[in-house]
Amino acid sequence: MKYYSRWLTIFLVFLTSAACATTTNIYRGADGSPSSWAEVIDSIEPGTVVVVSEQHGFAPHHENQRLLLEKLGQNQAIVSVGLEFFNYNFQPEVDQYVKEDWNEEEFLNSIDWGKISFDHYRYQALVLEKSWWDYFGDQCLKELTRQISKEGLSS
Amino acid sequence: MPKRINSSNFKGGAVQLTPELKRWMPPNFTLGNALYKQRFEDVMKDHVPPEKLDNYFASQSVWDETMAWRVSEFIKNHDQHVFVIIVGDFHAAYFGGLPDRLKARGVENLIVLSQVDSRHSDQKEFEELIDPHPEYGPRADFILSVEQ
Repeated sequence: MKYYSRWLTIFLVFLTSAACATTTNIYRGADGSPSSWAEVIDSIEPGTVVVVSEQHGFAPHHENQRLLLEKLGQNQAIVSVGLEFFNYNFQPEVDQYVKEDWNEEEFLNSIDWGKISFDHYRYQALVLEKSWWDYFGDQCLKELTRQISKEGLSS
Repeated sequence: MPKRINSSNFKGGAVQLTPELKRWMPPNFTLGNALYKQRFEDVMKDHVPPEKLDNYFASQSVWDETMAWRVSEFIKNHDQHVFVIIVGDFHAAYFGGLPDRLKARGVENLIVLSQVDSRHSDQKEFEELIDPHPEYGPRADFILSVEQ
């Protein structure tokens, strides 16, 4: 039940942000010319580190982060995520939260979460649910199933 | 990194930590580069006493270096992954903070997306956000500009 309530919350946040939508345009940093999500995604290959910035708590920036993660997932990428506000010494707490063994309030207290609403980061944190397990050993299984999904059993 | 490692642990940019805190420092710690420091001072000079600027910059550099260390170690061992790291824009813009330290730690495939808010910018302010800076160079590989 807790699982479904989390995703319902994410869905509601998405609806809220969609209701007060702004437009994001993308430009190439080299010369300021117009670009697109397609060009961004095409520039990202396995083994790439993507630094994506934000003005903390500014909803359209967090929505763009969600879009980026979704588009990478649609592009068959194995995505891992790091959040500036998750200090690495709190990795065990993050793991426990992602595994649904901990309610959010206790989790945030345990990692000394600051004043910015966690609503802006819940999706980015929980998308770890897909990738975080790779960190702990079933990466081979993930890669195997991904390869089979893409190429079939003969690959 | 414990929150207890902060600007008070730095005197003139030199690390002065207890052994207990020192163990959390990223290995081979290096301060951010000169242009990054110049930008940092431009932003912080009205908020921080001049004699504290070096300490604050050292603290900022520890954040960058810690993230760069952890991410570079991860991607070395997971070269089929895409690692997305989400940070405040100052860490990312002009490749100066985190991107610079990632490159220094051997990350070759790096894409930087800088997000800006240009909803209330006039044309000149908009161009300053998007176009390469005459001194700092391009802001990022791609700039995501929130507009009305």
